[in-house]
Amino acid sequence: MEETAIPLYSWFWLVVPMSVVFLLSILNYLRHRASAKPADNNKTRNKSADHNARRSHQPGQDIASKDVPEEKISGEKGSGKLRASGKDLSFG
Amino acid sequence: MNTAAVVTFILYLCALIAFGILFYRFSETLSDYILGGRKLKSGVAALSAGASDMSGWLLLGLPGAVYAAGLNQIWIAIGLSIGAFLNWQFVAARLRTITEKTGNAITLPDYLERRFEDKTRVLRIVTATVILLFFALYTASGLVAGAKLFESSFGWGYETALLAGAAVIVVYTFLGGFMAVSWTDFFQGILMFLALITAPIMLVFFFENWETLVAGVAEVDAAYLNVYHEMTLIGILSLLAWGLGYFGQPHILARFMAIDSPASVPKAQMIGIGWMVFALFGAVFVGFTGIAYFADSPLPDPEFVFLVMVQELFNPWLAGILLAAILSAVMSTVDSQLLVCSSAIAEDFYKGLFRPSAKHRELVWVGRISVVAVALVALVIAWNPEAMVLELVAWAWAGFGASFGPVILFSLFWKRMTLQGALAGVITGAVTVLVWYHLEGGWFDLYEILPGFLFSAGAIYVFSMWSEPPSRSVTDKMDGT
Repeated sequence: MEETAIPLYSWFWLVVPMSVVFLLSILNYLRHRASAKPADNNKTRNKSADHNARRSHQPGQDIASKDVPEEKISGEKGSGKLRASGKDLSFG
Repeated sequence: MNTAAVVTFILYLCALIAFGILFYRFSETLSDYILGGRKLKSGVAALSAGASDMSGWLLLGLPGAVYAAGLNQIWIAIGLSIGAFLNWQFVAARLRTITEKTGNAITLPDYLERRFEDKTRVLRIVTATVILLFFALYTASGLVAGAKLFESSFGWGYETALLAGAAVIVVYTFLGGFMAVSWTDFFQGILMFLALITAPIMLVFFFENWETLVAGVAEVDAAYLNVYHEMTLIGILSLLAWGLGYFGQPHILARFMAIDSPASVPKAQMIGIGWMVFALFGAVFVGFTGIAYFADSPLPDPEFVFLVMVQELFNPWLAGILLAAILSAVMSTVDSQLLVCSSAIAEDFYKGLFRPSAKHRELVWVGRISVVAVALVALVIAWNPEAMVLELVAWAWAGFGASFGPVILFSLFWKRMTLQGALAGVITGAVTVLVWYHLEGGWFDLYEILPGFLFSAGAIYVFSMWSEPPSRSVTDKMDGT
């Protein structure tokens, strides 16, 4: 009897490899966003802490209070420091 | 071709030229003209890479192949999507980083010369020459494809169609350089994507349901449903091996070098791969439905399956837009190749060898004039429609993939690689492709890119280990990137 439906193994090769590749690229992006978020959050937290410190500043008071965390912000997009997806490139 | 389609198409061409004018003032330095000043956003980089990569093959070649042979053509789509993914994954960010660190190299020959501190300039000359030779042929093939489309869609003579297509591409590329090319690629990529999503949806409605469509295909030939039909191991490996070409295609690697930051790469990868996967599915589906649709009146030329279906099924305005999508596919590749050739002439030969102290303005104009010069050479090659240039595309893809791919990969990952290894890799890859192409029978039926890639990689390793280790200044360049 002649085949009148696409065989299962054809469906597999038609759908699975390219879908896997697409899903991997989405996962890669989400992972990159997740690893970039703590740096972004620190930046935002510092900004609002600075802002609150400035608003509550009284004459004679040191604006760099202990409430403002001195977090180091590592190189990000546009900062001039080159970093590939959060990982250092190593060779050899 | 009716008035609606002609009007839509003319508006599309005017929009392309407008991009050229818009970005004319942007190009103050050669880096601006060739790489957009490395300011390309992730979405534009992704779609520009995809549209530059996929020429008329995506809307003509692949649907035509599926229409003629069935689902066994899926192997090339699988190979390409895996290759493109790996290229974004392992090459994009590193290449972006390293080309900027090694003296802001804006072309591949320039990068390779700086990477290996080649005082002899041989590596620059060899790689720039390979780029010019292969891309002149590749560009000619694009112009032939575009001319044949114009010819069949508008009833123009071949020469008129050739000149008209070339004129539009040259104008916006000449004026606007990389940014015009990338942004036109971006919109062309959207158009191509929409065409390949819309057409299948309309076709499903035409056939009422999926089962009716599949039954229609099976009635023509049930073997068309089988991905293994008439495929041997060598055949499957050859189609999958197309993916290896990505690592060495200068016009795609240029998008990686131009992206605004390595941190933008994951987003660009997701957009680019998403675009590619859906577009490939759409192209395969169009060819597949064509088997059932044209069951009673087979097409004389399988490659016109998409074009004819669009004209028969769609509203004339929509047909005009979809025709523009097909021409977009061709133009988006030709403009990128023209620009890479221009960069080889302006940066690698003119500035690199003859006028290292040339001013920015002078270099930008040398780049512009080079665009016109290369287009003229490509026109001469393409003038004869029987010149069989289209057959050379597979050969050019293999040539770049085999001669540049391993060299780029090793240069990004292996400190011990030397100048001698790089030269050996380029020459071995190119020679293997040239020789293997002419051999037949048994394993020689394998697509030449696979042995070319492997032999090139072997030559890089052997010659690097045989030669003196690279100097400290070369390896220090790679530290901490």
